[in-house]
Amino acid sequence: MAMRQFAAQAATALRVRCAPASIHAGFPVSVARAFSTVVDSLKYATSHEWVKIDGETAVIGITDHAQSELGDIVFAEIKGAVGDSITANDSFASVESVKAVSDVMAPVSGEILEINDTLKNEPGAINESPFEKGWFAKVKMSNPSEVNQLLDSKAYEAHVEANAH
Amino acid sequence: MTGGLQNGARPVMRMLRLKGFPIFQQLLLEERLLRTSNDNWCVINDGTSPPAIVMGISGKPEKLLDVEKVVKDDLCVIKRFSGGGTVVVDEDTLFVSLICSRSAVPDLQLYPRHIMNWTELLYVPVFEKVHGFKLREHDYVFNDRKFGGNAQSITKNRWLHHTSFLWDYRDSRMAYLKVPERAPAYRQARDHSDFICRLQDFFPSREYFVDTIAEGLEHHFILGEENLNDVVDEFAERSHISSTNVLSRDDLAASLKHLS
Repeated sequence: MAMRQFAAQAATALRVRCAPASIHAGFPVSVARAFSTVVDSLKYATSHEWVKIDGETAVIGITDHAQSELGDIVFAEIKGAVGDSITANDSFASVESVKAVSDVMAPVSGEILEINDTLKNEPGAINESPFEKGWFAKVKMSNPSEVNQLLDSKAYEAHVEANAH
Repeated sequence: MTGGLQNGARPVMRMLRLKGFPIFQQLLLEERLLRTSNDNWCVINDGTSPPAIVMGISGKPEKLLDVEKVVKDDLCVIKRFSGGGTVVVDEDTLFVSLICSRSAVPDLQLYPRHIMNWTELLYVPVFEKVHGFKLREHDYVFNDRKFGGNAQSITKNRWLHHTSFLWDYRDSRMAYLKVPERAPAYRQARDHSDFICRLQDFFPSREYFVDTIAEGLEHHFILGEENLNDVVDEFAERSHISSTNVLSRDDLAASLKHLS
């Protein structure tokens, strides 16, 4: 149910990005910069990953800002399988875009519960739907206090702005 | 975006100038330097032998190569750790790789396009005597003729940008490559022979070209030359996950099944 609500929020976020006139007043979404959306209820790493917390479970993806800067993503790979552990601030996935392979960092530590298989055949889902269809993995957190070190949406917006040129 | 010079302070860059170093060994070394060193590096390698094919990390042989011809001629096919396209490399390919920490270039955002654009600025003085140099999509060109292909690998705090410069090429070897599905728009479906050009037509010698690159780098970095054996020894014990590998005959045969 929580994921369904999250998906609804994220879908709204995308409508904001693509067609601002269709914004439904009251949804917790904001536009950090032109064409870069954040979802208010998520937590963010300074390395541009988002985390959706649902009890002990964290859903992880990369932000709209990150996908926009990366360009068209043609390949995505999670380094590991269900049951493997990931460690906060270590690379747990990679994406290929333009001519580059970029590491994706784990914002929290834990055990991989599920990997988004959609990304194997549709890596472009990360560009089209970074907060919904383009999620990377669900993780059972081993140290939930790590979430306290992540940014809320306002702090993340400020981080993006501070690093913009 | 700014260049590497701020407050007159240039960061140190360790430089390896190699000749004929096997490309597979070079890629292994570069991945190691990216993942286990904190220093800035430039690796220049003048040619590799025997010829080989190098593909990006997600490259599919059946889509990018004439696999039957590759197998028949027993060419080595390498999948490198970085992104990007496919290239036939040989004695006439000049490799230039930049491996840097985030702090090496102030204000440079570690995203592909930002790094790509910065390298264009880096190479402007190198090619200032040749008309029409620019970064076109992801390639270095003179007007609409490509002479350098790029690939990158970006980690949290480090980045690698490597270039294969075509000093010369043999048309017969280009026949191993198919026109890729994701070819740049400016290629306009041109054959290799109409799309690429030779650096030897613009520079008096390979040595002069390499020296000119070093001079260009000195605008941004303080260069210090290194010895290959010393560098290999220094990093031999540093473990990391390597994702560069050689495709086996079985791998290539399996790729052919995807065609049928």
